[in-house]
Amino acid sequence: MNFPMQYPIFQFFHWLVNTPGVGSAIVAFAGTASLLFYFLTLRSIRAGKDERGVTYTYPTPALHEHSEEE
Amino acid sequence: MLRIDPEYKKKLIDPLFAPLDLNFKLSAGVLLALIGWGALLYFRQIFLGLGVTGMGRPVYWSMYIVNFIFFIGISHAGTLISAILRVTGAEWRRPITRVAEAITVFALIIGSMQILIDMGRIDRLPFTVIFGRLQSPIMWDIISVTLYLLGSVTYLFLPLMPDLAIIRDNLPPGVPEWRRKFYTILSLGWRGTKAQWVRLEKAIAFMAVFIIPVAVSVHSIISWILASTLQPGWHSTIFGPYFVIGAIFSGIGALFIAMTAVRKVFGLEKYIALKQYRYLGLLFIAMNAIWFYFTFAENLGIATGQQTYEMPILAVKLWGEFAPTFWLMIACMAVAFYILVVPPMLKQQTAQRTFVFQPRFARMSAIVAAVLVGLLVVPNLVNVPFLAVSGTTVAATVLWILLILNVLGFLLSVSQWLKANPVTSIVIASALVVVGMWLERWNIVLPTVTHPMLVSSSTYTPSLTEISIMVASISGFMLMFMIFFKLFPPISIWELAEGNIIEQAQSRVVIPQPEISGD
Repeated sequence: MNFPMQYPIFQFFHWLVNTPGVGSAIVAFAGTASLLFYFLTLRSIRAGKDERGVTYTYPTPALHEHSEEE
Repeated sequence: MLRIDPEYKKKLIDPLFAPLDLNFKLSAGVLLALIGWGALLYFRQIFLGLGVTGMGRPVYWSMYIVNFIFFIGISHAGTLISAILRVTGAEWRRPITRVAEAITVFALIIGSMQILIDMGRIDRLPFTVIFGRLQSPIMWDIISVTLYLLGSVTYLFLPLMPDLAIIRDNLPPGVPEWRRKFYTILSLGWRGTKAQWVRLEKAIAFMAVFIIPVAVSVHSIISWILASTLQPGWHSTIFGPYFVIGAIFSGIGALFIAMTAVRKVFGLEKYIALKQYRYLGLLFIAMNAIWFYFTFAENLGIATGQQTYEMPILAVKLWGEFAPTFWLMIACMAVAFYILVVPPMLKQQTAQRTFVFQPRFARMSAIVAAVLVGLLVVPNLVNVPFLAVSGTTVAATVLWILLILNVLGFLLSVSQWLKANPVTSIVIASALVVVGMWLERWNIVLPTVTHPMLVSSSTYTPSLTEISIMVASISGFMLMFMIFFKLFPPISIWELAEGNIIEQAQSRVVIPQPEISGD
């Protein structure tokens, strides 16, 4: 039984795994996406410093099991 | 300003600002010298080519690849173990997560460097990226290791943020300005508001869940680099889980050694207590047993298949040129298993009444074992007529059986001592496991590359360059560890404080007596 290369989806997969440079594009994408995600996470945590009120040296379940809006 | 318990400050922050002592300077000096020597030989390798290594046709993968697999395995100590313990809410994890996460990052850096060293022509590195095709497991490896490294650095940094702010707000007087700035910048304006804590907890929880599959993928893919070829001994479906289990196993071993070093240097016996050793030790025993199961299963497939191209791989490991490293690996793991399992079960009264548990028996069996080793080794080295008989097959078999029995006797006789020194005995077992796991990587890579399909057989002996670069890599790993813990607290201060509060609350809970049934 021949591989069903007549279907565009398999042609796409063939192109995806065999084209030089596609692998590196995915590395670049994964790396950039991770870095962007981590940067945004850290920025979001940093932004929380502007909140007024008390500060805590450490949390307890009583603190972090409540949502921010409460 | 974030307040800190004075005891935590004394134990965890003040040592960071103490002047460098002689031990630190000496250790750093020796490690730097070893790194320098390794770097020198690496630059020589760049100029002269890979001919300075022991590699040559058909052996293109050798010690550097063994080290790569070994270090990436060690990296599973941290992030994976720390993440699993966080996700499962294991409270006893708190004092050891920082050490575990640091191991991950440093082992990943050193492990990834091995690939660059193995490439020889470093200028060809961009080609792997420019022409990288997604069908190649090496490409999958670059993707997963990149994700793992970035994730691990973030996972190390997130719980560090509140600690950096605590240090920033509690600096001892007379601290150099650069260190003040260092902690201020790195703490990213942390104040410990409710919003910050909530976001941080969410981020840590997400990262803990995210990092587990990434870590599993990393060592699976490393195994697939080998398993996706048709090389004898490698083309096995069991390799993925076998490598992951081996990685976690060696990782726990490295974690035990590192956390004991930190415990000793910083005097943290109160925080890194026997509880941590006991619980992590149980996981260690389970991993040891699973590792034996996988090792047996991997070799069973080759033994029962009896394929002409695969059997030589098993033969060289069981009784050929790789037998010493194979059986040493098995011995390391078996002794580690014994140390972890038997002494804790030994009853005091039994030990005092039975001769084999006495120190006298230890001395006796050690002397007899030394004599037996001499009888086994000497005839192979020099021609001594009256010892020639021990070179015969029957005599050698008897001597080996006696030696194994003697080693068992020795282990029985030191059981009392091992039980009395639980931390030392776990460190001994960990060292054996780490050595055993390095040998395992050796026994997987080398027998196959020296016995490929189209070449009858070949040999490989590591050159001075390879050995020096390996020593330099281990030294680099240790130096990074030392410097890191001179700048950052070895235990997560806020997590320790949080755990303390939870423990106090739990101790106030009254546990009801069990209900009496019947009369």
